[in-house]
Amino acid sequence: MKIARPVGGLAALCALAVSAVLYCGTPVRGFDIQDSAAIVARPGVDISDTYFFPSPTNPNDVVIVMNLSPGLPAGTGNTAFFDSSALYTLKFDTNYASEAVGSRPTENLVMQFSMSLPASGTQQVFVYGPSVPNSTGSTTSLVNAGTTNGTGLINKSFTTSSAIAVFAGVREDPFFFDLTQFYSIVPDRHLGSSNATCLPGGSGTCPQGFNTAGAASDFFSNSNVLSIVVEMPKSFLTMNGNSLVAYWATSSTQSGN
Amino acid sequence: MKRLLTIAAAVGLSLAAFSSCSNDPTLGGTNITGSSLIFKQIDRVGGAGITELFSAYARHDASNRATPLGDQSATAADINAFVTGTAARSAPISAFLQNLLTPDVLLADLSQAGDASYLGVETNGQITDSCNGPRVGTGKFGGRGLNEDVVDATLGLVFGTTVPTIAAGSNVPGSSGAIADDGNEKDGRAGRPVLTTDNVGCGGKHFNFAQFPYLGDPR
Repeated sequence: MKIARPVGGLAALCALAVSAVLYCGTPVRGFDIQDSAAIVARPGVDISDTYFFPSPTNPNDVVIVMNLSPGLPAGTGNTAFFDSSALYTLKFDTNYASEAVGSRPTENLVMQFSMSLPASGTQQVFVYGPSVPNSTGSTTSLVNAGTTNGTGLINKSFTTSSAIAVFAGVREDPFFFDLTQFYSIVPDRHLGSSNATCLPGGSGTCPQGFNTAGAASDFFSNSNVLSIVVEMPKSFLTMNGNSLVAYWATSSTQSGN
Repeated sequence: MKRLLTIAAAVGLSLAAFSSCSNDPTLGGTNITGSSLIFKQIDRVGGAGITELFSAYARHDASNRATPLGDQSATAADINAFVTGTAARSAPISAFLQNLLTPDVLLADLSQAGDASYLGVETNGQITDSCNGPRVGTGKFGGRGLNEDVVDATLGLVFGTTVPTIAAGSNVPGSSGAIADDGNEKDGRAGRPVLTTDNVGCGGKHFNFAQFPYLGDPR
């Protein structure tokens, strides 16, 4: 039974993968990348960015994107996989407009994703919801008692039982930013740095501004992420009569580490 | 930079070899039917880089594990410290940004036509930072589009003239009326450094807006 896989099995998997050990123990810079020790130890739960936009191909739909594992270099399109112990959740508050300022948001609709262990170069993707969450807040459980609403494979689009289009797999990182220069200016935002900022209030000797157009560079150029992308009818999010929706993404594990 | 790329390459190779570094059990769709497993949050993202810009690194883990309900206290305090201290902006500008950027979520008004517009609901469509030319529609949909320059939008709010320009016409709860320019922009004027743009656009990306899932193919 997969969920009762012996503890030693996964521990051995990590131990055998020498390069994996390197990742588990080596901090890398990032904007929303590896921005806590827990995430450094567990790159598969590292959410880099999330997006929410009208479908470019269907005016009745919206698209939600949750990007993970940033910094995958070029050439890893078929060799990167999601964390098979993580639960990835898209959270929506469709009552946001009627809630008191200062006491919102609270999710009232979620869509969840889990993944199998990779095998034979692929990975199963399991979709739960969208459904009303069993609980709100920073702990969560599978909606519909873990009954899936759709199943597919990594890097291949598929459709759930409620006709929601899903893609989970490797994509080009859409984010663009001169991250290197940012951390030169405000090093105290960066993991492992004890340097002071050069901006007012700081005592550092680093640059105080961004590079000129010719010298600036996109740190995320030519790199990939693991993306969860869904396209769903707007009506799924407006069924209670409100057009205003608050959205955020989370990643979770049973251990919280 | 070279060191960073070297490490990034090692990271990629390692991900090819495994998918988990923990002792958590593997999940599987059909095998967990009927389960009551409890999951604890490790990471959370709503807006673009809110915690990463405004909060010192030591605060990130707590923010990642919290719900957005707490943002209007903890994250707002971080924003105030950064905006009034590091960025040396006025208290009214700081207050506006605290109200604008917390809770840390993406707001979208699905009744609005046109493209996504980062912070478009709150600012009444007044921020335009689409890197692919003029935005289609009202700019009030909100959310976040793939081709939006959210970095420049945020830098403009913190270091530029954006807040004095848009405050009077915005829909930010807790804020009303015009906000005076404090004259402390860092946009190149009077020999000051430029912090209002990183001078990086999306020209190198390969979005495919004609076909789901719309993000570019892997590099």
